[in-house]
Order: sequence, then C-alpha cells, then structure tokens
Amino acid sequence: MLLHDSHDATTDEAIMLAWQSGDAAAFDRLYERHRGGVFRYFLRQCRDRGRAEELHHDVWLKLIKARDSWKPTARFTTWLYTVARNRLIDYWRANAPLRLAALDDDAHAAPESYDPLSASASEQHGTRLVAALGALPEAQRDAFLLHVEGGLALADVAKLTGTTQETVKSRLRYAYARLREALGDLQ
Amino acid sequence: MNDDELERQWRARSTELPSRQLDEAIRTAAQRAMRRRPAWQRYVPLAAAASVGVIALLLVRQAPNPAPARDVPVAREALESSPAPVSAAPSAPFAAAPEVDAAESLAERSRVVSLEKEQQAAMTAQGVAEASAHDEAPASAKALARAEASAPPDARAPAVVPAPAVTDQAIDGLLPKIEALVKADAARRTGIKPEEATIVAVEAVTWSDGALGCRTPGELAIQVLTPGYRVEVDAAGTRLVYHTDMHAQIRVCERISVPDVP
Repeated sequence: MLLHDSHDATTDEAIMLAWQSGDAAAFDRLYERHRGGVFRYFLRQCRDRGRAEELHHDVWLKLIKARDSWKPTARFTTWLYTVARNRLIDYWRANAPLRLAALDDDAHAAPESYDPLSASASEQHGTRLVAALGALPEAQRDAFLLHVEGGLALADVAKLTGTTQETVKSRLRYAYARLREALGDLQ
Repeated sequence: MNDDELERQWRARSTELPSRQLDEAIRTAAQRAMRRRPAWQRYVPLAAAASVGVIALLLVRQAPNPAPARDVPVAREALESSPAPVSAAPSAPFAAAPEVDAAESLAERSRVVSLEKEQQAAMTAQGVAEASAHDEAPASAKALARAEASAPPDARAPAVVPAPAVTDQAIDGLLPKIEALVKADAARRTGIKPEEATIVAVEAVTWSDGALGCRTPGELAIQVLTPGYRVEVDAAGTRLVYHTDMHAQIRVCERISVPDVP
C-alpha cells in the first residue's frame, strides 16, 4: 500500500522512492532530515558519542543496502527507527545484556539516579534536561526519544515498541513529569 | 510548563549532530551504492556473451559444408533422360519420396545426421588405413582413408569423394563380380556381348551416400560413406561411366559419345 502520493516530493516516502529511481540527491535530503534525530536517539541511549556515531553509521549503511528492496508499506520514520532500535538492542545484547530487558520494563530503575536538588543552580536547561532524561527508566526514555527526537506518533511508537498506545501515553506522562521536576526552579 | 513547552525546550537544547566526517562517509557510501549495479545486472554481459557463443556454435553446425571438389553435371543431365539405374542386387537403403519438398526436408535432416556418421566413418577408416599401410588393405579402407583427407561432401550435390592417383592399383583391385556386372549391363545397353565390352578406367572412390553419387531428382538416399569404384566402360564406341559399391550395386551415371540403344 502506498501511503503517500509519489508526486509529493516532500514526504520521506516520496524522497525514498526518488532515491530508488536514481535521484542521487534524494538521499542527501533524506539524510539531512533525519541525521540529527537518529544520532541523538543513540547518543541519549548510549551516552557516548563514539558509540552513538558507530550505531548511527550502521543504521544508515543498512538503509543504503536496503535501497532497492524498500517498499512504502509503512511510514519511513517508523521503518528507520525500527532499524535503529533493533541495532541498539543488538548493541546492548553484545555489550550490556542486563540492560536489554530494561527497555520493556517500566519499573526498572534508571542506571544512574539523578537528584535535581544536587544540580548546581548554574546548570542550564539543556544540561538538566539531558541529565534528567538519562535518569529515566529505559522504557520511558525510549518512548520519549522516539516521540520527540524521532517525531513518531504515539501509535507508531506503540507499534515499534510492541506495546499499546495507552502504555506509551503512560510512559510519556511519567517522563514529562520527571523532566519538569528536573527543571524545577528554572521553569 | 505543559508538555508542548517542554518538548519545545528539549528540541531547542538537544542539538547534537554527527561529525562531519561521519556524514561524509555515509553520503559517500550512498553515492557508491548508486553507481553499483544490482547483482543481476552484473551477469548480463556474461549471459550475452554465452548466448552469442551458443548461437554461433549452432550456426556453424547448421551451415552447409563447402561443395565437393568435383561435380558431375553430365551424370545429372544424362540420368534425367534415362531409365532408372540398374541394380543387380537390392540397392542400398533409400526411398523415393513422391513430393520433392518433403524429400528435401528429409534429406536435410538426414544430412545433419550423416555428417556425424561421416566423421565417425572417416576416423575409423583412418585408423584402418594407418594400421594396414603396408598390407594388402581392401580398396574400400584405402578409399575411406583418402576420403578423410578430402572435404566433406554436400548431400545436395552429387557428392563424390574422389580418391587421388589410384588408377592402376584400382584396376588390379576391381572385384571380378563388379567387373562382370558392369560388362553385362554395358552389353545389354549397347547390344553387344559382355566380353566385347572393355573397361577403360577404374577409379576407387568413396561415395558420400548410398546412391553412389547418382541420385535422381526427388530420390532419397541414406547418407553414409560408401566405398566403391568409378568404372569407365567402352561398349562398341559408347562410353559408359558406372558408379559401384563394393558389393553388387552399379549405376550408370554418365554416357559419352552415343546414346543408348533402344
């Protein structure tokens, strides 16, 4: 099923189809649109720039290899972040097996606790937000990054993570609350 | 602060990007992939070359062989106005087809088969000839060996595979029963006694078909190398040329000087 009109060159799917049909510049447009989101998804999950770049590179190479076989049966971003998330899971499986289960475990404690009261008053919003995100449970952080960085709709996040839309809503609600709490007096 | 405002603040502050080198590496990989042809396209030139080779091979196999070095137009002309060739015994396996088109079609098919048979026969003859180079080899084997060196005959023409420089030796080797049959036929045609007919020349020949190179129009003949003789007989001033095999089949292929006596 074609989700978008192929003449609409602004959708990701149309750009992908253009790239498939030989428009070399289409890839640059697609990459420019999503390079930041994908990279930051890995960066917030791994909290290591080198690893994030490695995973980011892998995902885009996979997309390049799948150029001929890709079909517009789903939203492009859903497909892209499914690939990214699977690559992240593979990475964790190889490097930190204990963290693997945490992606689907809301009750799992964050690997690093964050006490907003201990942050110095001079911390900027961004620093606090990033730190607070790192302190979130894996599942909430995953839902937040897919929704905010990836731009996925709740339904897409639910489909991608294998949960219901209500669960995603719940995770996001907790995540927003924690982040607001982290900002505290800076709001 | 509501959720939208929180998201806005997040987006405003979460701005990290991959390094320029990484971007370049990914873009370069994409450009390389664009230049690379799909796997199936890489085999297209190979498949095309193989197809051309197969077609060329088929064409070579189907192409007619060069015409024989020697043609006998006189024989064809003479036979068209003469009765059926005389055969003192059951002739080699052949059949006359009522329609020329069908006959030519069958002849074409049999010609293809015969080419392989000819090659096999020639190879066999070569082996025989080499093995008995200094022995009293049969004339047929010698003729086959000589025929192997000559060009393959074309079945459409009155294919003859001449054997070079055989006359004296062949006369000595002419089988008595063939000599008797030829003389008897010449005598019958010219109205003389058999002993009055004289053999003028004998040549050992390997014919390219069972009709001894004397097919009549529309006649089918098995395509097989047939050793025999070309015998020239003088009968009361009439010169008759017979094509024979090594057994009992003789055919008049040429008449020179005077026509048949009715």
